Amino acid sequence: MPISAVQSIIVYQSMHMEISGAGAASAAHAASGASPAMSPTQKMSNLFDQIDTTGSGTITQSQFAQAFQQLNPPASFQTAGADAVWSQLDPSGTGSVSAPDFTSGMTSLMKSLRGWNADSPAGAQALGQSANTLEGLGAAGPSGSSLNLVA
Amino acid sequence: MVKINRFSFPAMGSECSLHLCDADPAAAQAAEAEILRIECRYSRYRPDSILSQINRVAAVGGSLEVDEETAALIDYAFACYRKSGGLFDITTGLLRRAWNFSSGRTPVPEEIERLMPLLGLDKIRWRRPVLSFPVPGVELDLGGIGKEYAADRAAAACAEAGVAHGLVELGGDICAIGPQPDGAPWLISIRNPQDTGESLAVVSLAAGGLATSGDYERCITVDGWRYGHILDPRTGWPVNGLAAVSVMAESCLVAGSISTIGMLKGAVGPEWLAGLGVAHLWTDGHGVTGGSGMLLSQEVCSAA
Repeated sequence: MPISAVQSIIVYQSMHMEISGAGAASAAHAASGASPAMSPTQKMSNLFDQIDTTGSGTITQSQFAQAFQQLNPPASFQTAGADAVWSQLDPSGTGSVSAPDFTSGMTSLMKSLRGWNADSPAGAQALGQSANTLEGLGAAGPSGSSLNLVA
Repeated sequence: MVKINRFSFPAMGSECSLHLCDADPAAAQAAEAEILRIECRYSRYRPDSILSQINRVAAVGGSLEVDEETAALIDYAFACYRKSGGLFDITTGLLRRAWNFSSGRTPVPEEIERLMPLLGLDKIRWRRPVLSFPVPGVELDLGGIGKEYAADRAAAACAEAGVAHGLVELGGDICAIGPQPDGAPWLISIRNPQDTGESLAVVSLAAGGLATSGDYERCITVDGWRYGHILDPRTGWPVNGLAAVSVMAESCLVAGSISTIGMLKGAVGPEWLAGLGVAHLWTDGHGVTGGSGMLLSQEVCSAA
């Protein structure tokens, strides 16, 4: 039942299955200018073929890192860095990524990665609320809240 | 039977786990992307982060304008500074130059004394959106709030993606997206700082955040004396008094800030925490435990 954490353990009575990580993005822009008419999926597929120089059907981290350097990815990807992008493409650390996984992962996350460096107005608003909460704590004295301990 | 999908990935130097009920993987992808976005912007290890840009200006003195999110983070850091009476200070990261918690030794006093003139948020001028560093050599470190903020934002990303029931767990800090599908809270065990293989207490969390600060994860033991990684900006040396503080609050960010301030308060931490009205649990260096309301009940003892 328990799920371990560094300092806490989450316990719940249920089934759970493990699904490794979320997909990510990479040097997609290297292909994006080549053929504006192509679909994003096709662009990613072509990019994979560029990286998979041996035609093995999978790419390794070193192949990816090399392509990342050579294909001049856009600033948002460079900000993330090749290692960070790879860790999302290969979240379980198998050392390789297949063409379908590369294409689907890259395609599905393109939108979020376009906003990689974007400022977050929602985040700023939440921070403002948290600051107000923090500064208001204790102003009215102890409220008697509790952690709801479970025996 | 509740079906929970668990998504795990490394982030911010920690392990992040998303526990999402009947969730589409796209929700996890959105949460992971949000955490990575925050890491890219505020990591001190990334030369291209906004924080590194700020610190390059701080190193030589000068001013720069920051964006809305960064401004809100700095506002929040100043709120922590005020709330803690100057103890929670994002300039104390500079002390890492003296303290290496994997070295097995404590710094010589001169190393710390050399850095002390560069510590203190009062050495920074903050007039939104312009951040100014009149004293060259000051350095900001958002490590004390960035991870908790990221946990909150990841939970928000999941909620926006349609997840109503789940948890985000980032390096031991937890943010609830919502309760279990039947409305029951999640049951979370607080680790015993005296014996991290044991549980000190089990608490229930249906909303908001739960965070723990402690000196047992990173510390140096020299001549039988333990030096924890939470440093007092007034002395440059680790604080004493409490071994761990856990706090529940409406957000993981607030919970983490309060737990850290509780640790920084040292021996007076329990009294300070008791005055806030937040749910909390503390353990001192001798294994004595206390906290708010039900935390003082026999259930703590039975769970320990």
